[in-house]
Amino acid sequence: MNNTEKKIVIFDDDEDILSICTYILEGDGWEVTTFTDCNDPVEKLTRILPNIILMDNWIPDTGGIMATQTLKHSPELQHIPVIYFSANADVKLLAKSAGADFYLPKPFDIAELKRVLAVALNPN
Amino acid sequence: MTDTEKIQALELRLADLTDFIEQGAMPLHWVDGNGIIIWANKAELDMLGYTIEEYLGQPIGSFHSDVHVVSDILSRLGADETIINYPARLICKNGAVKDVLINSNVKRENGEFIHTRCFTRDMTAIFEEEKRMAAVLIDLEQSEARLLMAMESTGLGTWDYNPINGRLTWSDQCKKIYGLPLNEQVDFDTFAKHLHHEESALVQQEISRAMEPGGDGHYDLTFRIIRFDDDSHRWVRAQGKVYHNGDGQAERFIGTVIDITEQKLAEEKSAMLAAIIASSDDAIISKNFDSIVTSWNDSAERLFGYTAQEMIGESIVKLIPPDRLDEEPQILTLLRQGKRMDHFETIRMAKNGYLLNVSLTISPVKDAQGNIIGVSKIARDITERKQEEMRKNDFIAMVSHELKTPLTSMKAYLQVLLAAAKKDGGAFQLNALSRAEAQVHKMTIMIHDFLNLARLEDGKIGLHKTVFDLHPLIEEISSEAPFLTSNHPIRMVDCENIRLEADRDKLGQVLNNLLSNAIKYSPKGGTITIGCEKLAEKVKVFVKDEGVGISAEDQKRLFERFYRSKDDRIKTVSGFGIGLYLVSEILRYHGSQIAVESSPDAGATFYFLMDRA
Repeated sequence: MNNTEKKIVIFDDDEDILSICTYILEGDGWEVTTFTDCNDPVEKLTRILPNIILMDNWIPDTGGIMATQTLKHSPELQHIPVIYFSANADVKLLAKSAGADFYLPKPFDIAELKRVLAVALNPN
Repeated sequence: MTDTEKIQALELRLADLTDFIEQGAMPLHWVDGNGIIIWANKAELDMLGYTIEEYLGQPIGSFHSDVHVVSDILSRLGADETIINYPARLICKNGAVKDVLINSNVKRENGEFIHTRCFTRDMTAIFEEEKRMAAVLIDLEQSEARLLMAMESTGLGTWDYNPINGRLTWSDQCKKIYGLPLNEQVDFDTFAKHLHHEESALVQQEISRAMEPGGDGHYDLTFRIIRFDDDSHRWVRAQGKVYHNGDGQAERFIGTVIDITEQKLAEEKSAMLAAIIASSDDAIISKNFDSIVTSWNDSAERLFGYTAQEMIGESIVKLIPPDRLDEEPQILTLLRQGKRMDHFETIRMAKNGYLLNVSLTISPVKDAQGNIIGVSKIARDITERKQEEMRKNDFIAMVSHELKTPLTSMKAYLQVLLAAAKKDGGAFQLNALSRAEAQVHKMTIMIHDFLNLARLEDGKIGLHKTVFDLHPLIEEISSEAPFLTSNHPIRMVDCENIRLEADRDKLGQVLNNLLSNAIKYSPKGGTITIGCEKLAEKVKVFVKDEGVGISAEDQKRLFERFYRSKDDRIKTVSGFGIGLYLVSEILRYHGSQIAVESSPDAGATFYFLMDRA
């Protein structure tokens, strides 16, 4: 897979986080799409079919847990790795139960983000 | 009248009499002095079924079933006795035996035995009927005994009211129900006075209705009575039937009464419970020990999306997410031991596949003998609560979000700038950005502590124990130290090959707090040692510094929440005074304890013991 094909979708309602993550990830050759709400996740993601999804916990309207559950029930989307990132360590287990594949605590080091992305992209 | 006429009249008379005895319906015969039948009428022959040839000339004894009976009859007759209604049994031609009563005496002429005059009454049908009646009587007696027994054992009282003379009779059991002494009588007015006021009018109205001329006379009513002895209220059910005379007037009203208070209360209780279950916001489910659902209320349907029809008879396992299937056998094991589970927070799966956060209270259901016959389960949907916890109402979630979100972008921005400065920035820029990043790190740790404190106080600090190697954890913690310090060399001693079973994140926090304290309280620098001493089954983990040390007074209160040292030399050190409190609490949750050895200016050693896995 060459770099131009890597697509990532970030769900987060914090514009600063979206902006710096976009800057960092575009620098690494990702095609980044961002959303500040998680409504209709299936509709949003089916259009893009990203390689990876970064999902915030506290995001309008339903929150990341519901959005993750919904997309993990979609036959077209459920194979896409979801990296759940949250400032609240309490939701780690809940995110796992909802179907999230990885968990990244906020705040995170850029290096940590890149490491999780690498594992998510290529689990072996 | 001429002689001829007289003779004719006599002949007619004789013919009449002959006809009378020959054709009369009463069986008759004559037997001579030797016991031989010398004459019999038609009725006699018909009764026994013989022809005249078969009967006449035969000894009478050969037609009797009982030899002693016939010989007794003959000897009594021989002695000139008249026998009346002497029971005997005669043998018919077809072999049947007839019960008869014999009336007889002897005709003598000049003292000589001419023949008997024997009248026989066929009693077979009457005897049969008597036997049948006797059997019926026995049956009746038995069934009456059974009825009485049934009435006594069920507490069924009977009453009998005569509307014509106003007499009311109660059985003993009826009196017992009303609390009336058995030797006392009752009348209709007294009965009416002992009706509960709420049903009194209804009962009297129903009695009048039942007794209406031409009505069906049926009476079946449940009402309350006031007992004679203690004025207590009891629920009774009375059933009865009115019998009308030919004019359609009620002449007898009889029936039963039974105390149904217990049943009524149980019904009320059960109806109330059913209403509670139906209206409960919690899903209430019962199942057997094969995990098969036996009841399913409306809220269960609302919560899980399955209807009662879809779930009753199905396995509860349908609701359990695949990664939690092992919970069910564990729950059942506990319940078999008669234990219950309160507020077990777990995750269940709805019909649409969505996961729900539920709090389960599961208890064994016992029968009256105390045998465990099933399981009741109350599932409370705490998804909302969990969501709420994640949202603004929850202090922890709010602080996490509101403080860590800006830190997240700040940290990322700083790291991007730092990376750029490392490439082509000036020394000041590099230094300033490094310091800013270290401050962000410090702030992160402080927020982390603060949140953990809040969790502790909410009782939410759950341990997630795993088995892990201690050494890599210590390395991770130490590797973060350069954020905090550049003039404290950190040394690790003897921590290889130690496996622990503990909450790795929380233990990391303990070490992190001890390490950052060691740095903070060693303003002049100096080596910090993280080390282990292997004991028999435990390991002693310690963090040693060469800092300002701790006075005896401070040592006593060091682990209290928000305690700050009075030492002037470290007044400038920032902090909330919660780091060591958290260390002490986390260790306490692990069944361990933090301790310190120190004296002013001689540095400090904090240590604790942990079980080795």
